[in-house]
Amino acid sequence: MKQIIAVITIIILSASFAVAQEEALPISGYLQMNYTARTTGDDDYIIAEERLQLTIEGYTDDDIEASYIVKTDFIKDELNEEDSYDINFLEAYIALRFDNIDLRFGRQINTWGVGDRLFINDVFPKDWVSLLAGRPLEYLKIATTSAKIYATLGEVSAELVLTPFFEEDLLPDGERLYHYSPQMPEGVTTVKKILPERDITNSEVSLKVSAYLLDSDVSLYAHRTHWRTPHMKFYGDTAEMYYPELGVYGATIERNLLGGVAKLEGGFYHSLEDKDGTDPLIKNSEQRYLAGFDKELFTDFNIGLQYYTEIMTGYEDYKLSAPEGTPLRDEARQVASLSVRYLLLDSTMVFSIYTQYSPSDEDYYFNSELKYNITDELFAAVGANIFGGEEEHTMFGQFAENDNIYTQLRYSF
Amino acid sequence: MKNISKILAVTLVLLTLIAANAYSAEDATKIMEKSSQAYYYAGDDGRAKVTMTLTNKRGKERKRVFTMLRLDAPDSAEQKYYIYFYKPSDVKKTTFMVHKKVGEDDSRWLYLPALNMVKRIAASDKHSSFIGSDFSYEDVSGRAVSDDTHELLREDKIGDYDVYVIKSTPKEKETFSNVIHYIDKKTLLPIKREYFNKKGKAVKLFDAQEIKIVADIPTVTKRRMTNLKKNHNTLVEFTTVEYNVGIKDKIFSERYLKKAPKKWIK
Repeated sequence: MKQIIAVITIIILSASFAVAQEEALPISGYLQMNYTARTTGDDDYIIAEERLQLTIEGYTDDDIEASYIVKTDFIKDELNEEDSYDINFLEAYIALRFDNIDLRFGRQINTWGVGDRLFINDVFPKDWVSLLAGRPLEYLKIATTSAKIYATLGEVSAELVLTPFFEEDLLPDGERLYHYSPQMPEGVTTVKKILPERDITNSEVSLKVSAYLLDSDVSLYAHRTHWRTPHMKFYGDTAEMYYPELGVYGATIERNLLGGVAKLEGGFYHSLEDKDGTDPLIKNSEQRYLAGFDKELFTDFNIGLQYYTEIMTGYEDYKLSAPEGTPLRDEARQVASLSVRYLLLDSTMVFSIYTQYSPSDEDYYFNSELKYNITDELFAAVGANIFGGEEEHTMFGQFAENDNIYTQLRYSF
Repeated sequence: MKNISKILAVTLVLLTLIAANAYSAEDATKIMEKSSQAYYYAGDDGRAKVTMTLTNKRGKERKRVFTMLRLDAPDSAEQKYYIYFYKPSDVKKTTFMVHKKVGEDDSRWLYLPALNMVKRIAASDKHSSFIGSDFSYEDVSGRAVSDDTHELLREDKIGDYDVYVIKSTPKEKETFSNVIHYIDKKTLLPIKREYFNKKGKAVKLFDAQEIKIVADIPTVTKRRMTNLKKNHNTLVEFTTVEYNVGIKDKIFSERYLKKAPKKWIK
């Protein structure tokens, strides 16, 4: 009931804004149906939901172009047997523009780096469940409540994002998607999740400095953040899931090359609570690299190739200190990806493939989708996600039981 | 006497032919250059609000509405384009930028608002459709005059327009084997263009449907491109168009892709 009141309030409020501004109703959004069925024998749904997305926005006409946007999803989750609705504030911020500075305060999404579904310098939180379970791709990114300063000086621009409160990645938790859970030490009976305390010392800072040099997009990045995937600590009968501190420093370069776009990305993940790599319970520092190339092979047919590697520092120590029974990873985890995008029927239909294969983990992820814009407002998509691997503890090997087929139907207004 | 007139006639024809040939090779290229200036480089900058109507063979329509900003480099043929989409609603707020180069691939960037992400996109294929329309990227931002050899076939009349009829043949292999341009003598704007394939069959047709004088600059405010093979066409209408409005170079950057300049896109 509360939620319904909220919806109505928002609609009335925005309608009155519209009248005040004497322009078209500043509401847009969509109605979306999204159903995903598991195909590995459990006969269950992974997702069955309807969403109403409402975006309300406005701006002033003066020099600072003050603007606001509120993007809210109202979700009916058919798998939740209670008769309730969820509300998710996807974005809600106020933006201001000055001569050489843009400011943005509030819930906002930021996407950095050049990788396609492989991330190094984008350490902002992600919803992996949405990606793996067949929601539209934009649901991969989660907003943070941040203050952003974007400043330009000639050809150079700098973006500073201050995020007071940590947000974790959304990972498969066993409810919808099966995943690998490591063996708990004997005697552990409870598992607790401890998010970083909401104090100033845990604030996150991200900086990006970019320039357009010699026809290339060049950027440098630095983050002070936390690992967004939980780590384990043990106290007697309690296992504590927590998020150790992390520093990330990296760079990207992207430019036209051989009729396509070439991109390089590198980054150093500095595991600040285990700098020398001796704590077996905290991830060691890593060097991460990515090289990619996109090209339109023929009209309306694009391919993208990527190679990505994650090299652990202090690998010998890791091997020596790893608790018995823990499956050991390779020193260098490697991933190759291929994407294909083919536009058909005067660009109203898109056939796409995205696949990752890891020769080091011997696992894979395969996604294929056919999307058809029935009208300008209405699209329907069907797709499949397939996972597998030699071992059940690797990134995609653990998801082998989550193969799924999904459908999306969206009416935008 | 008979012989003399014969000789005279032959001489005249020969002279005309020589003259015509000398005239066509050089002047055809000059006309094409002037036409390209008039059509793609009007003013130092330009702003247009555009409605595109795509109609398929069953008569089904789709609409695209966007604002396009253009800035010409002061000392070269390079240009920058910035496009902000209003419709369809699922691409609202998407922005797109092109740095048009001479003699090398353009640079293109696309901004996806839902991800707040700027993506550089491959630009080697200039014949890809521009947002699903019958106009290719090259049709929107122009083809280098030096990529083709040009020949003035004749002078003619189309409707009220006195036109030059010029045949352009690509120097390198292309998706079409030649194009016949009909260029208005007065404004040098293209009135009609026919694209022919290897077999000499017309595959694509451009026609200017409305020309208006905007701030002393003759402008094609309504144009249609028809794909004759697919029986699919795109009508482009400029609902507003302005020139020399003082668009700043800084607009053509990542900052403005991510947050559109409200003053300019309205």
